[in-house]
Amino acid sequence: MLPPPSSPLGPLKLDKVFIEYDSPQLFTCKDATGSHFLAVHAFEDERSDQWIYVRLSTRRLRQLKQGHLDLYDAFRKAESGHIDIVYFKNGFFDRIETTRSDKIQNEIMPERHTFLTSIIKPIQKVDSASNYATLSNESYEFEDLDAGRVLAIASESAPMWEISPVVIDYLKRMRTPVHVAAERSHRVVADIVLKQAESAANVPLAALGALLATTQRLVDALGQPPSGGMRGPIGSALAQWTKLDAVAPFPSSFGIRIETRETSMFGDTGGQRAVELMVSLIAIRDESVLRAALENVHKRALLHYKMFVKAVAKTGSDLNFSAGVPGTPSILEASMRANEAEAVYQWLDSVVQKDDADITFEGRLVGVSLKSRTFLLENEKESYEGRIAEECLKEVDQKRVNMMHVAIIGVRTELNEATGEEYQRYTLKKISALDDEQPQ
Amino acid sequence: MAGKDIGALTSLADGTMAKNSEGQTGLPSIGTELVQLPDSYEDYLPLGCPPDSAQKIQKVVYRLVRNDPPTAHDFRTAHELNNHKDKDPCQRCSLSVSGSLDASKELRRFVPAFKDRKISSGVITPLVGVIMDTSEKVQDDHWSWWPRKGLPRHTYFAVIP
Repeated sequence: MLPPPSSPLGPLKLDKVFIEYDSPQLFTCKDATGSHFLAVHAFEDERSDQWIYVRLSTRRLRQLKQGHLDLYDAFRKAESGHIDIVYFKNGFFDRIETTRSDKIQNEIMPERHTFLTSIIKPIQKVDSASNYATLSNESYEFEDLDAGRVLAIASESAPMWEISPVVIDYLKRMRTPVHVAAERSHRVVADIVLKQAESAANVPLAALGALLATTQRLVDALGQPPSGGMRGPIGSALAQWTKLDAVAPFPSSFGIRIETRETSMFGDTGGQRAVELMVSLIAIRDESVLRAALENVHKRALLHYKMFVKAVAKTGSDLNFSAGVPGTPSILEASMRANEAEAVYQWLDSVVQKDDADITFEGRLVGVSLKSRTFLLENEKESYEGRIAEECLKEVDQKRVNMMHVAIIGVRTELNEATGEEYQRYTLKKISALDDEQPQ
Repeated sequence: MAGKDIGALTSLADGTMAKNSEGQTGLPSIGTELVQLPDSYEDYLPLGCPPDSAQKIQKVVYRLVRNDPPTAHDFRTAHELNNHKDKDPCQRCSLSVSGSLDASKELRRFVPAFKDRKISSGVITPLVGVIMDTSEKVQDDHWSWWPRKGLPRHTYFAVIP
């Protein structure tokens, strides 16, 4: 029985009846967008009826009709993870309850191994026709296709991997919202969508790769406690919780779904906080607000955020980042236009030009090159090499190699743009022989 | 034609089982006086219904019922229940029956609401109405039965133990 058009499922139109018994008992119907539902009469008594509705993709519907999927699994393993139970009282619509498909009671489910092919007339085998149909600009119900139409579609020229706009539009609607996917998988799930400007139709592959790589590094950095040190790589124990996997690309201007590899069944493990922070950062345009926000995250994150926005700018696309975290029934979402990404990058670049800190180091002056303005200092534990500051050149010129010295060295952490690896850049600012007066 | 069918019905009566709502065993005896009745169906049937393709034949059929013995409530059409108003008007005035016991059993497996229903059997003859094989569009062995006017339909069926 169909719910009224005013129900949460909207207007539904009966499509194909598989089992009729005084009235349709098992059937498919379509909503206003053309999405299919499979419905079955699940329960009845003298005064009430219940019907289960599950949304089906065309592919799944085909599997069902061809006997590759039984009714039990069609409902139990709903593609969206959810089914709708439609209640009627005394023949009148009462309400709809949405519930997880794996929670349906067996009493209101068709039995296992109930294949449509065992109760309905054999359906003409037109597998190839349905495959061809995806190459066309039209969508077809494969039972509507006759042999002549199949040949006509097959003869239409289309690139092998071209996807029909109809199919893309359909698949867009089938995408499970990130917060639903997160709840189901107990993982943080996020969608990265790039929307090209009108003049550009594609995302440069290198820029796309950089965007994905910098996303991982930024999340890694944001997953670190704010007070952590800068030297050395991020610990593997921390990094495992922020490790992301690409789950699937999806039809959009350009879209890819990612999720944390580790589940967060026992509360946030770092990945959740990192993604939440990332959404916050992307949403900020004001410099002072961004400065304040970056003070509350690990210093490393500033560098990685700079590289991330640079990657966004290089795609030439507007970015939309939406995320779902387990336990949160809403979507975290932020977007950034390509020109905004460029502006943020310029600002961040000016911020990171300053040294992180100065250190005082005691060690032997191993070498100096006034021509290349480089130095090398070392002791038994560490060694530092780098450039000599302009104001320090005269001092260095007067020092003796292989003698012990006390030096003030500026340290700046930078990123290798190609690899994303961090490295420290050292600048010699002051130097005195150990017997001399301590450098100021 | 009608008289010939009735003769066949009588010979089939002992092929039915269990009891009906009248407490009788097997099919109730249908008097030969019904033989001469003109085709007469419920007044609410639309024009042209039952369709010409519906057959005046004798056939053992099966129907899922809630009650044992079956009651009149088990044999009400969608029209009489005032539901499924968007259905084909003529089809809405018919009752679904299965042409085989296996088909009825399959229905219980496929439709959860029918899990607790009982399978009853009866014999359709021209005296009780016309039937049509409607399995072309829906499940196999689905037949539509347009009962004659005023017929105590449930008394022609008995639950299979």
